[in-house]
Amino acid sequence: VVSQVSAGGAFARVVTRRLGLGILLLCIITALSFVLVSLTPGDAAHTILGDFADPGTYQALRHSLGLDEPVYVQWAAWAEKAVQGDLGRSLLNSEPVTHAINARLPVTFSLIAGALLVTLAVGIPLGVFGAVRGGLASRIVDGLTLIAFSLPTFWIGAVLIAIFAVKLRWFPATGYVSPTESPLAWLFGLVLPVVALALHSVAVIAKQTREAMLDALSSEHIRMAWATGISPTSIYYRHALRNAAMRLVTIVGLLVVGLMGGTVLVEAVFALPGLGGLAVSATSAHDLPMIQGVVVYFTAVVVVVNLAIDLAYTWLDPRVRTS
Amino acid sequence: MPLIVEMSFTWLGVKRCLLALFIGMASVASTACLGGPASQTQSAKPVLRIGLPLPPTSLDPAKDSNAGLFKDISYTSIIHINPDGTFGPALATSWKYLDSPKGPNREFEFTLRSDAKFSNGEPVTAQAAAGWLTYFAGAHGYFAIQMGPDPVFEATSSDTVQIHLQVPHPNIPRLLAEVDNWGWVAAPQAVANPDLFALNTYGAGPYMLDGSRSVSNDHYTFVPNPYYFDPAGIKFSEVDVKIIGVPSTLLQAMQADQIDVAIGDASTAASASAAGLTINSAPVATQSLFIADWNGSLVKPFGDQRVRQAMNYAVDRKAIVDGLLGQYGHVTSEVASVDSMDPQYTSYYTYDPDKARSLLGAAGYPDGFSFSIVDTGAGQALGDNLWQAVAKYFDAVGIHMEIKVDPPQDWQSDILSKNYAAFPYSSGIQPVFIIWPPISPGGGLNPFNNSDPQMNQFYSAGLASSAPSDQWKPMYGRMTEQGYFIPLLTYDYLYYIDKKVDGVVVSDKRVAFAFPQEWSPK
Repeated sequence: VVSQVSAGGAFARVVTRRLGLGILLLCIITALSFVLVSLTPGDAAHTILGDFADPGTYQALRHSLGLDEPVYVQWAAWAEKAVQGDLGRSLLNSEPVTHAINARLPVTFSLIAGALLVTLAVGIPLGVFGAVRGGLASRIVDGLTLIAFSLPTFWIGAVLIAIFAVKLRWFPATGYVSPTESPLAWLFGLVLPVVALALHSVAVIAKQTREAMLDALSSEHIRMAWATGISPTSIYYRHALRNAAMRLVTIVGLLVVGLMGGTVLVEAVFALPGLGGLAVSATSAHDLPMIQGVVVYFTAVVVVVNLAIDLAYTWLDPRVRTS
Repeated sequence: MPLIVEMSFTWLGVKRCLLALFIGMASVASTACLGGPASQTQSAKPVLRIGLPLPPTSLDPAKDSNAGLFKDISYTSIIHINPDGTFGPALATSWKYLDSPKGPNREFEFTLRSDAKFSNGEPVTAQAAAGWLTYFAGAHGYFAIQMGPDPVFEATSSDTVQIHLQVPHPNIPRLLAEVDNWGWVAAPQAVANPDLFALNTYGAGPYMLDGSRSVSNDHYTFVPNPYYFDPAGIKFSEVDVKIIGVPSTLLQAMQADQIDVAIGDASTAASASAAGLTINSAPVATQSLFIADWNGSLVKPFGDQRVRQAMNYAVDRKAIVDGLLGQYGHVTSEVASVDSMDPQYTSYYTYDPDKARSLLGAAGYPDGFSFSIVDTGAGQALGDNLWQAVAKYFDAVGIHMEIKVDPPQDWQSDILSKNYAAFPYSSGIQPVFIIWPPISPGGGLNPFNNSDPQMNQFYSAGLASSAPSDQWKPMYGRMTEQGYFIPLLTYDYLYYIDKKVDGVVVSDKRVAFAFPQEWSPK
């Protein structure tokens, strides 16, 4: 009972601390993104009117969009509404920001979840295999991960489309189908982009798993386990892999954030309506409310991922609970 | 579908079973996803699938800086522009200029058909059209200045609208047609609350946006408008527009039978042709170097007509077109327009470096001179390659052109800075009333406020004329002879079309737009 209470207390402390930091992070990052966007040339009025607009029309539009206000005034006005749950509307097409983002969330989450699943399902066994077998198998795993790591994502995507969509016609070349519309089409639409997105992560996790397993297998307590006659399966999967998991949890956390960045390219190559593409189009169009909305969502995801990592640490390592 | 039949209850057999199942599912799913036969069996009419490289900046036609194709799905314009540039009825059945004590081309009237309704069910009335036009003029959109300051739109009866202008305009029918956005009349409900444009369309066209199946900037699904006045004009059961920004992916989507008609570009044209797609194209814009400082206040040699002409003779336009655009580019030494082209000026300046040197010598610059341009890529189709090639030709006659590169957003501030006596300029093949104002005295692209009284006179006379081309052709002739521009080439807008769609007509008389209302299934 004492152990459960102290574990619960540790989890609560982690959650409270992380959420507090998350709110602070949101304030800093949204303010920073306002400043950064204001420092880049151009604005939403320029995007709307194009390169050859009449200067008078341009100034009138800037005024009507509130872009002639100082940056801090614009940010304060945005923040006041944001804390009430209103992220505003796009400066370009008046679409509510939350509507635009929510329409794209399932795509990005499907991609990230799919890529993460593939990463864990392929990368970890590959790393374990390389570490356990050693020798040629280890070198093959090393070679494969190096190749996978070297190939640019956009190139992989283009090749996958050329072979599996254009030539073989097994999968669609572009687009996203909602699982509510057709689960099968949703699944098959995700195969190529998920593979393109996951390849780097598979390489990273396989390499890290192999290294972490080798470290764990050479540790004193594993040698002790061998000496006491514990079965190899138990040693590999119950003791060594659990030990290696501490390092993998950190890597997986970083990979999730990296996958969020990777979705930008994959969404462009496969023409998928995700958050990455929205971030790029909003940024290039200087659509501040939309940029802020994406920043808020991405930051929230990073906060949640970090929280999950901390909770995983707390669960995996009793020393963290008692510290 | 290749199924593996030799199986046993070994692990290998199970794996083979899974593989076969996987491949089978892939085949089924791909058939379901690709739309072709499946989409046709769902309805007697097929689905039209369009691929575009860019989304509209806004679904509100008053605020979108792009005209044409996208709007034509869900809006019907007031007047229709035919491929040859003539006009035909659309929402309006008749139109005319009115005599006015203020002078010619200031009063215009059109009469609307009586059976049209918007997709929300509201009738298309003169009040609705006048309300829309009034909203359009005040919405600060790209096209809003075309009717001059403070235009007045008045519903004089239930089906007649009059337009009263402060300055004459000789071609109002074109403004009300598909190429300039004014004519895409939207329903009063949306005009009263423009935020509604965020998620829906409010036109009187054959289709309307299904917001629940669309994601802005990615894909748009249009379904038939139940109130459309010409049910026979609804030739497709659905129109899907997919935005694909990567040209190679757009082509691959066509090759994978996910798209029927797409806007292509020169980089993928050869592959599209090899893949068996039809390519329809038409010139869309002229790429020029504009000598903004033609009085020579910043770069003195530019004040001499012989220097400007020498620059025109110095460039081998044909080599540039052949090298950069192939069959999708065309040599010109005249800025192209729809209403003022004079064939004698298209090849007025032929490649003649000796003549260029001679003219420079006669102007007092036998050793040439130097100047800078800023290349922001704004509105440019060919990027830096074009300007590097032009610089090489200038170098050969002693003129050194330094190229500074800035981001596209800096275009206007760079131009207005007066630091550059010349700059790259891409002008759409439009009427003179659209091309000329930005570069006329007081125009946004005339930083040195240069003026040519003769040209101004021609322009003003054209505005008040029932045959403006009679005035504008000599105006353009003078512009070419004076060498205010160094026009290099016109480049094409390309449409890739598969074997299922017919009627995709592209014409330089309507800015190379193609309009889905003209398309039909084969």
